[in-house]
Amino acid sequence: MSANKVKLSTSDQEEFDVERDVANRSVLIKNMLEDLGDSDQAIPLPNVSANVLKKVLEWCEHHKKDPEPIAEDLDDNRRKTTEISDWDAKFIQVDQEMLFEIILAANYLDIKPLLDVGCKTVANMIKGKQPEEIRKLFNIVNDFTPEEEAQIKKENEWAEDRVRLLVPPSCTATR
Amino acid sequence: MARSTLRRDATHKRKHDLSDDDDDLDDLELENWLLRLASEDSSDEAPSEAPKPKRRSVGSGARGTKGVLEGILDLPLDVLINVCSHLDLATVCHLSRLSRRFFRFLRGNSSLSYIWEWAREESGLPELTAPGLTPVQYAHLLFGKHCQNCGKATTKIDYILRVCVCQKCSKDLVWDDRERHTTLCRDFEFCPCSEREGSGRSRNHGEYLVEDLKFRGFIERFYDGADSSDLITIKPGHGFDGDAIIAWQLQRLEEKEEEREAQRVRRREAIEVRFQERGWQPRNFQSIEWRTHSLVNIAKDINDSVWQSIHEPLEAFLAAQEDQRNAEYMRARSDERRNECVTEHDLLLKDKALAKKLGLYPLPPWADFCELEAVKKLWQIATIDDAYAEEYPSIVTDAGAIADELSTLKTVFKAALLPKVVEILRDIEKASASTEGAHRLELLPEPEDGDDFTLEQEDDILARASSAISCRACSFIDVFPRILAHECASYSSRHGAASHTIAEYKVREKVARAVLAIADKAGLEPEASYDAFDELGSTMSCACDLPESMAVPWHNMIYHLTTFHDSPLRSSDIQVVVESEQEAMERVFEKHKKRVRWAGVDSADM
Repeated sequence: MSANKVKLSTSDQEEFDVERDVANRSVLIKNMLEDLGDSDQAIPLPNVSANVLKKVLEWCEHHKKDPEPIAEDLDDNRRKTTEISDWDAKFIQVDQEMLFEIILAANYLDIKPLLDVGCKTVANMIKGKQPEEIRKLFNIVNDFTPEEEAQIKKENEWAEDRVRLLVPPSCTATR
Repeated sequence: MARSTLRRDATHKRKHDLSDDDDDLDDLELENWLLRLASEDSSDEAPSEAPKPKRRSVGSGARGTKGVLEGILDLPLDVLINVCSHLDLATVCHLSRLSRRFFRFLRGNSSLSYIWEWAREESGLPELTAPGLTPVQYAHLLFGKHCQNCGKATTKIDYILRVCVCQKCSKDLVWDDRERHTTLCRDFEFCPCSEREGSGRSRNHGEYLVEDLKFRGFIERFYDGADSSDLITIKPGHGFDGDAIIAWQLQRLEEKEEEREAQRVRRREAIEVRFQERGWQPRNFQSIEWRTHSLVNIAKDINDSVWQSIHEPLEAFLAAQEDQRNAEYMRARSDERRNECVTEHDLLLKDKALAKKLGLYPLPPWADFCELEAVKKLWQIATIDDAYAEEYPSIVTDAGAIADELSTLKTVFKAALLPKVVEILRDIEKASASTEGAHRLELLPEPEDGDDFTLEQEDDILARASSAISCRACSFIDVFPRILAHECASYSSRHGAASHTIAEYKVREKVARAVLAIADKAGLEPEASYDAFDELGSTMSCACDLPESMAVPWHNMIYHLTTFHDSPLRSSDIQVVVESEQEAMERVFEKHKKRVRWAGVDSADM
């Protein structure tokens, strides 16, 4: 086994020989490699299946030369934009099941940029849609009772909150 | 007050039911909680205090069944938060209404309230300066479609008062201060007052929340004299926030309209590309009617199935437009060619040599000329190819056909003129025969073709000076066909073109009698042709000695006699003198001298 190669073992017992640069896109694997040192032993990834890992590695291969994201900026950058690069947009054009599998794998493997791509994709799918459309899109059951739904429509706790905020604490105590 | 308290209590209970009192869960607990919820059957989620959720009919399209696509619910909490961090406020608001799980996730945990804050930022919504509106309420105010009081459809939204209510509830909850009662009472000076509608339009009066007015009264009653510095900021804060929200809404509307317009343009261009692949040209898509067509001007992208349903009616529309455009172009080209013919006709009227060369002299005026079939053909366009043709006929190229028709026109003229002339000459013949002692005139030859004249006889009759006719437009007198070439002095005739229509000429007995009188004085035969009269030159003078009747050609003399002498019916009544200009001058001078002597003035004094 070359020093530049890493062996990964998936949940369905399939093994992948991956370049270390590519594998290092995953913070999980990177940390494990640092802990293990040079070893021919395959790193087990029990939460990732072979077809999903293949897809994840495709992304890592394309982005292996990307600069490492700065930890402090991650949160801000993530929220700044919902735009996705052309290559990523094409890469993420998969069925919903695979999309969620990629997101779960990225989360497990701690690949934040990929996780962001997945989350942004899901967000873009939801954005601007009405509740009925979102339910239809994700096959979500509306389990509100008619009474609850009527209550949600009204949202009529406003006047109460207004009073709660305006009235001095001593006044609230008397009530 | 009691009603309000009851409502508050009921609200508290409902909120308690839905949130499960999990306000202070940390992230780990939240995750476990969410995972637990995900693994539970939805029927188990009904809170113990609340009545068991009523199952709805499966008929509604939104009630699907759980499946692999419901993966969003299986995502870990931090991933779900990541997804939500990219959403705008409207979508987060909608997401919170999807199901009980989402409601609990987004509304039941104050520790996750930052999601709503992120969503507000993502939407570009202004941060509120005045307190009193939670992010959820903020979202409902902007994107809710139901009355916050009764749940019916919203008809009134006020961003300054922060209410969205139906028409009926508006009467109960909003105080319409058209009468300006509030200006009379200082109690109302701290209450938020709205003078702008949700659309941003200004009102001419203020509106207040009834609740606020009651509350103000409540404060005054129980806390009279207390520090009300916080209350002072409420009213301007509401006004500032309301204006900011309205500005955001207007900006959003503008952006939406721009987006819709871009979508409309995209659709139109996509349709045009597809039609161009079917052979239509870019010029087919230039019209306003095309751009505003109800199947084209829609803010919706096009796909194959839509194309299948719209291409046939649109193609029919384009074909109709093409026909209409072709018809308009053909009409315009026809007008252009007609105008070119008018110009060409004008040139030929000026250039008599060319007109003679082409066999078109004398050229009738445009009014007669344009009625010729051969001329009309010059601007008749039958097909669109004809309209686009670079070479097309003109008067010069079709001169032969036009000359033939002009010849026919003269024949028609002659056929109409001859009976009138013959009738007049016969009348004069009869009159001379019936006049005792007078010389019997024989002005017409004996018909050689039975009762009719031969062509030669007809030409001979019309060539006689007694057959002269006068132009109605300028009163010029001459014989046919020479009169068709006279320089008509009427205003309506361009470049002196004489009409080729018989109706434009007068055939009068008076003229014939004047000619006969002149012939008598000049020693010519009554049936003398116009050539014989022409040879006399300008030798005719009238005894009346008007300057314009001295030493003039025969047709001028006829004009004079028929115009200034009432009844020149007999030659004995007409005093025409045949003399040269010099003789005329001497005669008139002598006559003038006699008149002067008669008046007692000696000629030597002159």
